[in-house]
Amino acid sequence: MERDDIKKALLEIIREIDDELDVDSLDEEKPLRDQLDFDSMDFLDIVMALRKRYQIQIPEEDYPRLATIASSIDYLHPRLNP
Amino acid sequence: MKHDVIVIGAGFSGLAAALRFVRYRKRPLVLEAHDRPGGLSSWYRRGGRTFESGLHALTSFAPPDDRAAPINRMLRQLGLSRDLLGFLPQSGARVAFADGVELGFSNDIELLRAEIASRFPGEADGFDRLCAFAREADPGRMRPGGSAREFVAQYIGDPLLASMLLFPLIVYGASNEHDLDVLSMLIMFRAIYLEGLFRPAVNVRELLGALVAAIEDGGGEVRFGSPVARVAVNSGRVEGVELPDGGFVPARMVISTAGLPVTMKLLGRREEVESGRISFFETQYVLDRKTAAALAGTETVYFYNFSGGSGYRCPDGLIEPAVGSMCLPHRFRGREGEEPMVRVTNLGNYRRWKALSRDEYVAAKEDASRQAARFAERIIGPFSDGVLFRDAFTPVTIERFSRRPGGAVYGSPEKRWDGGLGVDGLLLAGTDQGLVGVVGAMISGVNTANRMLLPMRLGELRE
Repeated sequence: MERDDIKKALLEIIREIDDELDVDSLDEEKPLRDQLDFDSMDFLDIVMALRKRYQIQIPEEDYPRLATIASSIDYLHPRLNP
Repeated sequence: MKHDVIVIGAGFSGLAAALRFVRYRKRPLVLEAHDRPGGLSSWYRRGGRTFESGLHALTSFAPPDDRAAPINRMLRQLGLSRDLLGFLPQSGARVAFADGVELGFSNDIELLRAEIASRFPGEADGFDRLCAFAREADPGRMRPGGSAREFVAQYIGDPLLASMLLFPLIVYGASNEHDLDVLSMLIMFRAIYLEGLFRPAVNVRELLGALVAAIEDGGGEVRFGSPVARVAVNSGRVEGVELPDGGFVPARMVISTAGLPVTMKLLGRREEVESGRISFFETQYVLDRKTAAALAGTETVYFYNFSGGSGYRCPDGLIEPAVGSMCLPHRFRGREGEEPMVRVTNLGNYRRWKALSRDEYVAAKEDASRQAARFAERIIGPFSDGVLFRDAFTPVTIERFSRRPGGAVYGSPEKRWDGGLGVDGLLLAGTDQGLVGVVGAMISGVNTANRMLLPMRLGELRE
């Protein structure tokens, strides 16, 4: 999976959580939490959606690595391309 | 187990909590003693009309694009659209004290600021600093405790202005007499002055109906006429609830919105919790259009205190007509075509009402409604001769339908801000968690559900 595909999938997941959101306005480098006003529950939605889509298990200690879109792609890329 | 969580009470906090669970595919069971939802903010039918019995206005107004605003955040967390509610803002509000001293405010804080600058010169800077503090304070990270009066005195030198500023916040949410907690004050200051007042386009009956339908559509269940007899606890863990007929509903989690005193009883605990002395007497006057058109003022909501003192206490008599709040629901923007009405709410003494015989009670209601109108007419002009229909409810009525002991609308003075009761799997939500009003109750429900859902979902992710 290419980095662009991963980004597309992430944005789709985020849009599912909040359908009023303009995902194109998101800054890849800024924490999602600040830009989306997401809480911990929304964050778990992202983790759950990733697991459902890709059967990927993300341990709790890795959650901080999903802070921004860019860091999420860095984290997911090697795991989705074994 | 058939249900993931049992929610006691189908008021706004209980319904919000249940809906939050439904959003995560959990199955809540809501048990409501009354035959309808709403609790402290419900409705009743009289003379062919639907009357609302709860708050005059919702707080925490926000425009749609303010994503971080508490109300937008709460609606999002419940998966509800803003269109369900419809946001009809107030036309304005006014605080009126003795000797003609008045302050207007609206959903634009600049109006209140200008009013203060012109009537209390020298206090505008302090007010700005107070606004800045309330705007930046994060109530989630603050500790309760402390007097709002003492706190506000650090910003506002003139005691009359301080009292006037605090008055609407106290009337809309203080379970204590005379004062409220600093934390409550900051939440209310923001919700009422910085954000503002509005009402939904739908009536409270339709709004509650939509919440119940959303819970049921999502696989939850809401049972009416279904009181709880006991919350069962074993070795410090909740096990379910017992029904009056001896039936038992098992559940690993229970959220009680029945208030602290009642919840303690359901747990079989003996410690006395004060149920609160603040209750209200309210009269709703339906007016003919000609009388309504001739009324003075343009505001939707009025807060008045002609008593000379703090005014906010359990009165010695049946009611304190000189202290109250008044709402003209047809003055919310977009409601101008509705049948005009004046709702006048005064402090009432539960014990005095409770002690009356049936005949005395009926006569006392008539008399109290007449007294209440006299003070309301000081502000909006005469309307008593143009009343098409009138109905009133007392602290005893509130107790009967909301099951709050003493009709204590804002709950016990003793709050559990974290909802904790020392029992695993059991949390308290709603009024006695310290958040009041329909919006506060719903936020409390969402937050309480989140506290239970987070560990559940983390557990699922580990599987």
